[in-house]
Amino acid sequence: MPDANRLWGVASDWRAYLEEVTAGVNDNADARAVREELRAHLEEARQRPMAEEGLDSEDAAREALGRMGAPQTVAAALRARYCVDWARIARAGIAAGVAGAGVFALGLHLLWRVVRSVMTIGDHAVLSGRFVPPPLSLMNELAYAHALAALLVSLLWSAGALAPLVAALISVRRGAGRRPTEFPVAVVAGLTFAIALALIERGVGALNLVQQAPPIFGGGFFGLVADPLLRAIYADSPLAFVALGWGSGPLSLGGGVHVGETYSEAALIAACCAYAARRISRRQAARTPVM
Amino acid sequence: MPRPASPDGYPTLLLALLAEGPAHGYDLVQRLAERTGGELQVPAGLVYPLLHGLESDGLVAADWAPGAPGRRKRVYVLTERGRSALRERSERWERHRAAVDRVLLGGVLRRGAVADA
Repeated sequence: MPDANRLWGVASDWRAYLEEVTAGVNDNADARAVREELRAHLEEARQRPMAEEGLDSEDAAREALGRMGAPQTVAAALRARYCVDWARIARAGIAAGVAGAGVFALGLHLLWRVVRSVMTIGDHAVLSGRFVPPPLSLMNELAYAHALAALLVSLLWSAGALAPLVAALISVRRGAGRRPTEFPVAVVAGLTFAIALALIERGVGALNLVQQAPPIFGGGFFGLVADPLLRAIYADSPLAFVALGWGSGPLSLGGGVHVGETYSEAALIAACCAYAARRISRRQAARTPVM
Repeated sequence: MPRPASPDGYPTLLLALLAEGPAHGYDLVQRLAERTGGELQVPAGLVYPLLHGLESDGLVAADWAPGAPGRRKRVYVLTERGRSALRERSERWERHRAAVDRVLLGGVLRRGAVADA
């Protein structure tokens, strides 16, 4: 009967092997699950030589370990399945985000021009006297309709941009992106990137506004901090909208459109990042050293 | 490790074994070695990344089942998508094999003809 020290040595061999092959697996839950599965295999593989070849427990355990394959090879195969290549995802995410934002910005610009042209045509028609100037109450109604139209456009934009995001998320969930490490990475990277871009854009706008308008809170440190913040909110800062859920405000005539832009930009870029992550993980899977 | 001369290799063989019924990793390793007369012996540790890849692609599904006392093992089942992938890969393999046969056997026949002459 093998003594306790020898059996302890075998157990630690197994543990060391399992630790080594799962060292490249990013997610702890994944690594635990893989170790548990491999350990179950080792247990089963140990029983057979004991029963059929009469090996003692220790030799059978070593035999089972020997048939698992070189730890470096198994680790490489597991790494290819489970490891997130952060640098590649970041590069592809930024590239896809920039390209997606460019395409989106162009599309938005064109559509907004069309909408504005339609509105301008209406204004010219009124100003040129082709229409009898409406009473003030009707002007208010028109302004209200204008605001509603802007909001409707923004909602349509948001829905249109969210559709590919939802499709990408579903496909990522179904496909290689089921690995929990890649899914949140892609989405968070995309959203962060999009919000950062939007913040820079809106931040620049807010600073311009501050330069042109008298301070609200006066001078001093409080005014220095609070003024740009308040003006950023008034300038439809995405951070303010995200934080406060503020979809309509003093600038709600254009604000609806800006909210739509911000959320749909974020959604589109996140979709691009998720798609890029999926492509990368599929390419990594194709490079598995085994096959 | 010997490699099956197929573009899809071992994953296809695993799909074929799973087409016969649910199985866990150890069972698949054993059956693969037995069926191929020991010709294709994949190191056991490499079967699991392959199975996980098939699972990620939705070709197999896996669930934990009770194993040895205090232990669990993962049992793999072929999905419908896996079944059609297996069908497609088998057809591809047939075409591949036929093409190789035409070259190899044609060569053997030609060499035989030359030798006879």
